[in-house]
Amino acid sequence: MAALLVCLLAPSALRHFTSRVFSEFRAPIDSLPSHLSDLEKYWLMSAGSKRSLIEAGRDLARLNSAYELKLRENEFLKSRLSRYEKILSMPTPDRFKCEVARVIRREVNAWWQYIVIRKGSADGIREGYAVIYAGGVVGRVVKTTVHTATVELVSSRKFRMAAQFDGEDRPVIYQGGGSFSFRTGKGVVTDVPGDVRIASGESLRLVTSPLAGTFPEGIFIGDVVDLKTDSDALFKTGVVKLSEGLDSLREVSVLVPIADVAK
Amino acid sequence: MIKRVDLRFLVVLLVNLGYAYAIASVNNWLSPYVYLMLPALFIVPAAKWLGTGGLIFVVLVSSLASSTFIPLPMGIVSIIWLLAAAFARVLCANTEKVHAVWAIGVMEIVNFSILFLYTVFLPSAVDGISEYILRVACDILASALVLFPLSKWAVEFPDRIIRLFEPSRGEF
Repeated sequence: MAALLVCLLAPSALRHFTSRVFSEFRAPIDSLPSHLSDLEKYWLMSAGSKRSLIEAGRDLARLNSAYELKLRENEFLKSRLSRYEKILSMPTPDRFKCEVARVIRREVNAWWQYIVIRKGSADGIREGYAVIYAGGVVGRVVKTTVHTATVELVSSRKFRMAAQFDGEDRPVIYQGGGSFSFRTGKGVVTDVPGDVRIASGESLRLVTSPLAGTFPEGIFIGDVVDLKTDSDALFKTGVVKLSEGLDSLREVSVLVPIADVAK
Repeated sequence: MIKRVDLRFLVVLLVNLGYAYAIASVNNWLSPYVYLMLPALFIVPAAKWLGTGGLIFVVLVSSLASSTFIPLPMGIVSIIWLLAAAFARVLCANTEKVHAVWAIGVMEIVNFSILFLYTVFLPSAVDGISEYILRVACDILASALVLFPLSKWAVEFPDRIIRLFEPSRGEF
């Protein structure tokens, strides 16, 4: 009875402190499978034959030479871009630094949708930072410990952001729609102008808007497959089909604002 | 004179830590499809083998460690788990030997009660009531199915470890 009363009547500061302590206590347990997997890969590779190592080295050398060409091309394009920016007095677009992190845990159910990544406040990650991957938006950092961070997925109903259709600049509102058993998550897009239409069998690409703040412009969110006119007949609401890659994420990029890196 | 301390709660706590690790690893791969929630694994063995103080301590610590993701105030999850522990304690009161049917029954009842309370307290994070019910039903069913073959083994497991320290059973 006393334990129940303590749980019920404990001041919020004590609850917050306890929550932080247990999050830090739990973080090493969460990252343990990921570390073990790394160790397993290391031992597997070290047990490989000389022949397989030579083959892997040869493949890597080919890849490296291809990437070297791309790197030179990239540097040339960058210098050209910076020249144009100077001529036109444009502000520099580099607002974020990418911090690549490994996914160590997925928590997706009917009540919450999170992933945990293996980088935290020690790596400069703070709450509210945007998280993306090769297929588009992943979510937003909602909680950090020293070496891990919890990311609220784009499919979560608590995730809401400004978006726009690819090739347009009128803002719409995107909100996660939840996770479904044996199906990819979906979202909902609202406040879509009435003149936006989708031809049958086609879809519209929804991307991030510059109004989204923590996200850069033009990052893919999902495909809008269906639009219905609202009861006010001014706006439309649609269903957003999210990328299937969200269910099998292994690595993601946290976008750390350059202004915060400089601090 | 040195006071002898009953350290059985440490064994149960370490076993619970192992369960938390195992469940997190399984959910890491399964959760886009079904999500396993097995709070009974942390509660029933503690209710069976520990004294009141040890039971409260183990359940409190396990609930706090397991509730880092649950979008409820910390105290609520602990209260739900403590109430379930009290209920499990009543069910365990007059049972000396662990029978398979009894273990499965207690585990399933406690697990379902907690998941039912989660359903009552937690807001839906799925768009559409039918989709929400389907997802919750899938998760509860999957959890019940996983718990079914594990129940007897899970209730007996801490006792088996404690027996390793006999003859001063439980006191070391």
